Amino acid sequence: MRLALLASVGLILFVFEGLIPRPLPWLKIGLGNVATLLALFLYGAGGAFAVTGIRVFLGSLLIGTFLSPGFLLSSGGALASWMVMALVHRAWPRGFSVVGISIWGASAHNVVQLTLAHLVLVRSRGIWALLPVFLLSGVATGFVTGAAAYWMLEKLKKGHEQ
Amino acid sequence: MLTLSDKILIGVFLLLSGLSFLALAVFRGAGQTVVVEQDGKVMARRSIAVEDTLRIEGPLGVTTIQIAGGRARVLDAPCPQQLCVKTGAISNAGAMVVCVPNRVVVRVEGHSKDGVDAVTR
Repeated sequence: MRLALLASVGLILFVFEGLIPRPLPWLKIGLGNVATLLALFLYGAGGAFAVTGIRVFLGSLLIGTFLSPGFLLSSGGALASWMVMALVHRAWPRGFSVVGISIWGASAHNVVQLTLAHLVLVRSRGIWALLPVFLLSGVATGFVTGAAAYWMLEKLKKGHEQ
Repeated sequence: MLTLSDKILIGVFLLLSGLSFLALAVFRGAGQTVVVEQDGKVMARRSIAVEDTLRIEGPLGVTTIQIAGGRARVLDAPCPQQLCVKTGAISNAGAMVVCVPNRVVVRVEGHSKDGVDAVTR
């Protein structure tokens, strides 16, 4: 039940973010990942997978990109992001905070999207010229979503103590 | 909020990004040739100094590429988001415009094709 709630939070954030005009069209914060991060820290890797899967599937249906080339990139990026975040979280449960895990996830997402774009869509090595920009933006967007998730987790903790 | 590992992670990624920026800047000279690829195949090679207009057929339709004033740009494209058109004009070696939906890449290449400027013995 709570996972369904988190999945819908992720879905709403994802669709809402699509409505905000972006100055740089290829730069996306990835607000939907806040819900995945919360699920990972509250309910573990399985819960995070469910929340991500539901968001990618229903999100693509809502904005009309289901099974388009962009859908392959977005689902591949989301899957890679979930996998890396779950692995790092399991391997070093105390090492990285939710912000660190978020940066891992955003970077994995970006690198895998670039790789998929190279393999499937644009078979040109030149596309790797975008790697530095993607690494930098992964740190920045990962930090923003991670900070949002951190703030949410703190609020939830306080709610439990009262 | 941030643990030590978080800070190390951020530092390493920022360093990696900075190094790859530098590496690209070092290998990037003035542009000489405009290369247009469709689905990974080279469709056209033109000097960046000669004005020309190219029409490349992709899965969605025709992408129009303009070379003028030592710069190349995508003038018109059939893709929904028009990111390639919004990218604007490119002129430096290594710069490129990518249209993912129509699978078109416009690249600017530098002087040396094999990546070696000179060999010393």
